[in-house]
Amino acid sequence: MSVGAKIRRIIGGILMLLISFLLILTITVDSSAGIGLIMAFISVWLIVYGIRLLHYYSKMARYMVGGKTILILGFVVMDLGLFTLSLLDVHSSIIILYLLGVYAFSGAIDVMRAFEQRKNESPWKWKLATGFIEISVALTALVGGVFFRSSTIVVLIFALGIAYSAVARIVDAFIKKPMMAIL
Amino acid sequence: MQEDFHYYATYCAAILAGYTHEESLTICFSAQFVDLCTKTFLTVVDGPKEAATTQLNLELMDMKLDKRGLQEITSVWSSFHFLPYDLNAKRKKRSRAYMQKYRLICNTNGELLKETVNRAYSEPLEAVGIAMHILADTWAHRYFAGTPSLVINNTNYYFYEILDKDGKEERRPITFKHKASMSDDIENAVYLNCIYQYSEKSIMNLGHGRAGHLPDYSFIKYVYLPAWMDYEEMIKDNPSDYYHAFSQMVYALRTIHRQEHEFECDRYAFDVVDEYKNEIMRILKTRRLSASEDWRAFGMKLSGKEVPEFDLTDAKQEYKNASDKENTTLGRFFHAAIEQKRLVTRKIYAKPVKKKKE
Repeated sequence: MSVGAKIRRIIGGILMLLISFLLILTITVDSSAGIGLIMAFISVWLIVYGIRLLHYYSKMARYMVGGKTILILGFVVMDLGLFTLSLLDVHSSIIILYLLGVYAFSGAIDVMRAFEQRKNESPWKWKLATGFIEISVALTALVGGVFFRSSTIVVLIFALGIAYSAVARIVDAFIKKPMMAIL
Repeated sequence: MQEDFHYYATYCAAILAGYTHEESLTICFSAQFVDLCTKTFLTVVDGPKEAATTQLNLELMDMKLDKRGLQEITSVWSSFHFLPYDLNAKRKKRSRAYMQKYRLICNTNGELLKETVNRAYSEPLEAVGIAMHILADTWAHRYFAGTPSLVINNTNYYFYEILDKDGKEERRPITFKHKASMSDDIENAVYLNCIYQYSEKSIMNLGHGRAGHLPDYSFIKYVYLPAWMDYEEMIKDNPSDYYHAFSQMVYALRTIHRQEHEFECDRYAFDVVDEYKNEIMRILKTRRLSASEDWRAFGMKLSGKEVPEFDLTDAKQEYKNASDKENTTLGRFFHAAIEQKRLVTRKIYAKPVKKKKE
């Protein structure tokens, strides 16, 4: 990664830390407003990303060997976005379960990818650590959110999730990634 | 391709085509220098930045992948390492966006190759060396495109080396890893490649990165599924391709040297090269990461002169100290490189001519 790209990544990380801080601040005012914002943000991001993948599939990837992976990925991501949107009006405990599911799934994928990368002799330790952290967040949501049925916990978990992603971005800026020369 | 072919084999081809030892050294120096002339190098010698013929990994990672950045990457890699075969290529039921990438697929004996070699006729030997690099790479890098593209350059797990066991062909699975510190393990068929990225424009999807260095090794014959070929197998026979590349280089160099007629596609100097076929095929088929020593010995046998290792020091010093920089080895190389880049880039990005209504 170049110096410019590193700086961009670090600035992005700092901005995410600020958003996380703002979300934590909403807890002190009205945590239900924070939940709405979180869900709207996630769903819009997922839907847009899913549509972009589907567009890419219809224009290009459909002609490619293995291109259906892009199609499936596009549908899954968009579906996830629509599903998130439908959760805007439901009780906070459902949202907690949903966040729990997302984090647990994401964590499990990261752990599996870490093992795959280890097999391929690629850098894997950071991936494994992030996987375990995500699973830990899911467990925290389960214990705190479901048992205490608190929207404050939901906002807090999401804010901490963003803070964690921000730190991951910043750390990632300093990790060397292999790339081969083509001569 | 690597130094073994671009430097030593090009020297051999030039000698067989009738050039003197000194002329052959100038040609092979330029052919090899194409793989080293980066923006970083040009900054060091204070040369023209537009003369870059390759990019360092760090330079690539620094590129913004917007329209302008992609054009810069494509102008370097398509002009010198992945010369497009047919810019007017047509395929049914394909989108325009797809065809913009598809038309950049490199292959041998295209119209652009003819123009590239013929342009070198009236140019200094440095331009001839550049043309020979491009010609040789059309054989090694065929079926890949010199632009970042998942839909063209991607490969999947279906990758087998074809081995000759007692006259019968046997397929051995190839494993790819992404660890930068490891080197290719020929004996166990474990090779380094770029990691899969599902972004169309990722730098990891440039050229043959997803197929590792397999196209650069002369000994290997393998089969795989190119992303663009509708699930049809592609067999890449490098020993045969490299032999054709060498024979075509001798033919091209001979026509330039004699100045008797224009370079034509699909013609080879087999009349000259076949005399050495056994020796050349032995060099090409020996399983190793570099064949430099054998090519060098073959070159010395042909010319009876010592072939020095590739060294940039003198040329760099000459360019730095010269008052008339254009009349130095590097100066002539830079001029030829800029002209070549202009030729290819203009063809790639030329807007289609609209017919006027009468």
